[in-house]
Amino acid sequence: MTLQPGELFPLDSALRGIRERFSDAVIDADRTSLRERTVVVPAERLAEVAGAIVGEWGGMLLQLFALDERESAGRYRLHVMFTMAPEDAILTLVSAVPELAPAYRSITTTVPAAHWLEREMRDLMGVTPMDHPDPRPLIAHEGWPRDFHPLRKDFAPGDAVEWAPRWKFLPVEGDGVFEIPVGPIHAGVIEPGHFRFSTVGEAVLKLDVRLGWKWRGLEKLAEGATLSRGLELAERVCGTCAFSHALAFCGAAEEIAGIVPPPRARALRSMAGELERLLNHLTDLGGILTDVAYVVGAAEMARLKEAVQQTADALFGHRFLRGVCVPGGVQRDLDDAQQLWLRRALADVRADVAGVLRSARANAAVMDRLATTGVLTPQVARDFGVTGVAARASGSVRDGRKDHPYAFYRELDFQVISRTGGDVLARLDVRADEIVESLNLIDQMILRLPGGPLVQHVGELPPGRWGFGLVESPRGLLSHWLRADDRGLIGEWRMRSASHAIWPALALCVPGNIVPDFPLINKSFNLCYACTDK
Amino acid sequence: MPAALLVILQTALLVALAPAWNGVVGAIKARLQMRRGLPVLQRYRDLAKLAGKETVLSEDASPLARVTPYLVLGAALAVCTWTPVLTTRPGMGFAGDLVMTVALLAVMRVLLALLALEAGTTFGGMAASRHLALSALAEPALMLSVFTLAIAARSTDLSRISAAVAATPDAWISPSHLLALTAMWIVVVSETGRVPVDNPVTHLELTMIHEGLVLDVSGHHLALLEWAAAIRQMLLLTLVANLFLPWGIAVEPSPLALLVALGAWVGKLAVFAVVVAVTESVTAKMRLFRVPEFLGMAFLLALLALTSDSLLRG
Repeated sequence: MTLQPGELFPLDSALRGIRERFSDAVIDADRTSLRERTVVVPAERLAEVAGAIVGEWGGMLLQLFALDERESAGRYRLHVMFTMAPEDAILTLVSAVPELAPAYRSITTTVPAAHWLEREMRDLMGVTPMDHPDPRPLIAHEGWPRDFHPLRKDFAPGDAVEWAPRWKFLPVEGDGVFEIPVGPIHAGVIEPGHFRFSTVGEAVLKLDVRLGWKWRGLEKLAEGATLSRGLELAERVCGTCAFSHALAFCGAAEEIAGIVPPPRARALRSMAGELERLLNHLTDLGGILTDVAYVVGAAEMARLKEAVQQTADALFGHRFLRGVCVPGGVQRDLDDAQQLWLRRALADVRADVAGVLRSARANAAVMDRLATTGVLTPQVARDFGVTGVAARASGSVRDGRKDHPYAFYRELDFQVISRTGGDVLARLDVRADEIVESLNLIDQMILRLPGGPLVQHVGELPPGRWGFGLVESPRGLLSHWLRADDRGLIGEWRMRSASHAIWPALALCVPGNIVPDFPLINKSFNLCYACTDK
Repeated sequence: MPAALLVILQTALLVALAPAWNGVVGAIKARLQMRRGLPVLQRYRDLAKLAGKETVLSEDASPLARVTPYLVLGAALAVCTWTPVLTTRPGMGFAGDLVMTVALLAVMRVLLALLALEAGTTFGGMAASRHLALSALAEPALMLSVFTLAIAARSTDLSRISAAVAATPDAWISPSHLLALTAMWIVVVSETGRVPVDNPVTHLELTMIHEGLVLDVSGHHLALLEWAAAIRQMLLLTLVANLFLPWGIAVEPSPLALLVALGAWVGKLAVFAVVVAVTESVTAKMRLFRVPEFLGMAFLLALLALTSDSLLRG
């Protein structure tokens, strides 16, 4: 990035601003790692400081979670993480919330992106954000008992719990307003999610999204587990971005252990990451074409997706690229013959994708469905911390591969694709161009694949240290945060997928459209339910 | 051949071949997508499977929910009896004509909509509302386009209209005839739930029109309704084939003429299947709010057909 004379990097300007504006409140500003700065803030001032970071210093909320430190320190510990793009830096606010009155002033009042994160934290941890604009539970459905917070340390998986109803949809009232409940069980093979539309005729007035049916307590299951067990769980958070999850998890573990994987491993990681992106984008383009009943294009995309999956299976041993990434490196290597074969296979994919998209774009009936449907405004995207394809289709130029270069991306040459329409068509266009970029990236890596070992040994995790991994998954920025316990095992694991940030924004770009266009809008984001629920 | 036998033969043909047509369209579509697709006879197996399954009815279901599948199928069968399939010899012409046909089609629609509402679920109500709204636009276009032929034939009897058009082989090239045919085709596309109006293979509840109506029906009730829908589709296609393009239809029901007529009818249906399959492959489903414009166009074309017919006839 280029700076004018006298101008500060975002992180520096934020730190200076915090010292100047909140000098009475801030306890300590400390450098903990090369890219993370932590600032300890009293809980009652969190909302103010967070608001200033996002509103004035260009930060974007990445993650917000609570840790149970009642036993050791008699408190809950709050972490609020911000990315300071375009700088590869994270600013973390740390706060203590007392054990006996676990409440603080909600950050959502100043940073809308904290909306679902705070509700989820209250459900799972029992730390209450006061004055939250939407105090309904997020994950705690009818099936959840009152005062049951499974991420607290005193709950063990397997403990029995009782039922207690406590959820209500937000009603829209008036003459001719109807509610349409959809799901969580659908007519097709779709993940469970409940959508409550308030409509007048076919026009949608409001959409309430309710997820949480796939909450499996993965973060709880990882506590006290070894890294390899944790990786198994991370790879199973969701099917479609299994590799991104593994990579972010390993990134966090490697930061704790203080190691960097060897160059060949980093390049192979980027290669697998781009294959995963290719696979997802092809699936999503096929989904969009299916939903507008452009069947020939959809069938062609399905064939291409299958071809990429079979390529992944043949080269890396798994159709969803599980088991490729391990802490410290990768487990799979490609020899020269395999590299050549991959290039040939992908050259066919490149030509075929271009052909299908050309005929789809030339079809007026298809274009009419896509243009102006489901517009996500740049304002909403910013407010909710939307990343990935969804943000880049609404004018953003943020891409985790450029902003927080991991794996091999610092050494690679590629464009960040961006569109300004914010509609279904813009999201289709961004994916189409990113497919080309992914293919270029894989070609570059095959030409410049470094030699050397595949794995750097990860020793014991230093007790009490934490680290995080950021990955630009096919849907956007994915973060995994790990802290080692005093035995060197996983003490706490917190993860947040891009889908988690985009769901509330999606709900806001549906009103104004008609009911039968919702599946198309939903498919154009193609968010993950399992990733969000965890 | 006695008239009664002819009526039975024609009805049996319509009923028996109805599920196959969808199968043929599906097979052609699959070929166009370079897929192998389902066997044509799969539709019959599906019906047999459904018929063997338990029919689940709500405890609160009214008698209407129990009788509707039979009434809908009955209405479809009734129309079959006076539809000219192989011959223009009027068999059951005394029982029903063009007006009765349109009326019975409307009865089927209303019964289906009531059945959909009966289940009390959202998707049924939503589909019923869309279905009736679109039908209200399609029905006048259907009436007008067939009336264009009826006026020329000076009869609303379907067999007489067919005979009259068949008797003047070059009438079909007239502007009014072509306009009416186009209008009729749009109506058929809409009424049979085809792309670009509806997507017959969708699994997305929120976009459904015709599928949504029977979303809560199961077992042999669903089999009856599916079959009735297939027969209805066959009826509309046969109307296009034998009223607008009655080439090859038997004026005198001699065995040879009937055989020729059967070949011509099946051939025309096959051509329609190709047209529908290709249309569905090269176009996308339109936005729901564009469909009224599409059907409005059908109405306009039918109106033009009628006007130009009167003007040209003097």
